[in-house]
Amino acid sequence: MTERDNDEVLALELAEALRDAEPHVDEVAERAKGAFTWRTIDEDLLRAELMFDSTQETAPSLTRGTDSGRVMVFSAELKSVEIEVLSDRVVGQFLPQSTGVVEVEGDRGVLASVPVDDLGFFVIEPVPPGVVRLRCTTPSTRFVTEWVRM
Amino acid sequence: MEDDRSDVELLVAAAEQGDAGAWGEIVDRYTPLVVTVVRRYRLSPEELQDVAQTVWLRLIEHLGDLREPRALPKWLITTAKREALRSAVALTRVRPTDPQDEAWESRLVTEDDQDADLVRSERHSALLEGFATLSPRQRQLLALLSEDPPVPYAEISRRTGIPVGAIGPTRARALARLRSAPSVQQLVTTVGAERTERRGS
Repeated sequence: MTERDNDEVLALELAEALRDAEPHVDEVAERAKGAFTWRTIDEDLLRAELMFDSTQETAPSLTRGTDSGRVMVFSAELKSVEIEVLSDRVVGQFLPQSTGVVEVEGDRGVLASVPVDDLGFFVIEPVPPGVVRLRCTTPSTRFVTEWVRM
Repeated sequence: MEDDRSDVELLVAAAEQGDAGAWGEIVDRYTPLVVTVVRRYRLSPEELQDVAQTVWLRLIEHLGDLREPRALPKWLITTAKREALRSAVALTRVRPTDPQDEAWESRLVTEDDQDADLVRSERHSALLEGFATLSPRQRQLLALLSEDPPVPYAEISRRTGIPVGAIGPTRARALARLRSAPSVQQLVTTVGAERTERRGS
């Protein structure tokens, strides 16, 4: 068993691995490179982590009907934003309640900007496609959620 | 191997400073690995793209606080698995008893021949992690040599700038370097054992 034999076996298996990934590689790489512009505008921004996602729940919920949408809660320090993804729109609320603005960011730029009323409610219509995050601004704070697919 | 690792650290540091070229090199090196990990979850091509993009967007956010840049491949594998699983669960509305339960995860990943599939995917991940340590030219050459149907040497030479007579030796050096990558080192023993067994039978 020589190293050369080993290398030929490795080469065959590597070729297989590369061929399996190949149909997706160019688009993934291109989109990833395009997303790099985001890094500059994010410095010092509070990040709200996804704390709850109803699709990842471990047990069927007893309190929600089957027709309700996916619920997600993002928190940063004591601020949070709770959203429910319905078939045609996303409804959300800032907690604690506060007026403000929500910007929906896709990987290539801002997709929409919606006002938040004084009870903290907002509506995003239609449901944003692809990978997005919410940049939330209230009179007292700014934070941005994790990237998610809605 | 130390060179390759510090190389990764330099790339991460440069990307964090806003160097788009360094970011592009990180992406080119590790995209096959990320794709391979996500592919296992049998998502649609569009979902696969979104999951992969989520992984890269997360990395952009975390470039500054990657505690150990050398651990970048492991970070990518872990994040890709988590995001792909999240996406698979959200899409199928499957209700896991415990998302951390690996038996459950493997059921979701693949229904048929799951052991063989899992082993194959892990081996491919290890090889592509090693592939990421090669130079851009070595990666380009091995990728061209992997195409099916095969690309003629004259065409490979035209696209890589490597003279036809140097393709063999360049390939051998690339494979030697691949073999010396830590993730691949773990596989080599297994490959040797399999081959010996096959020859004996």
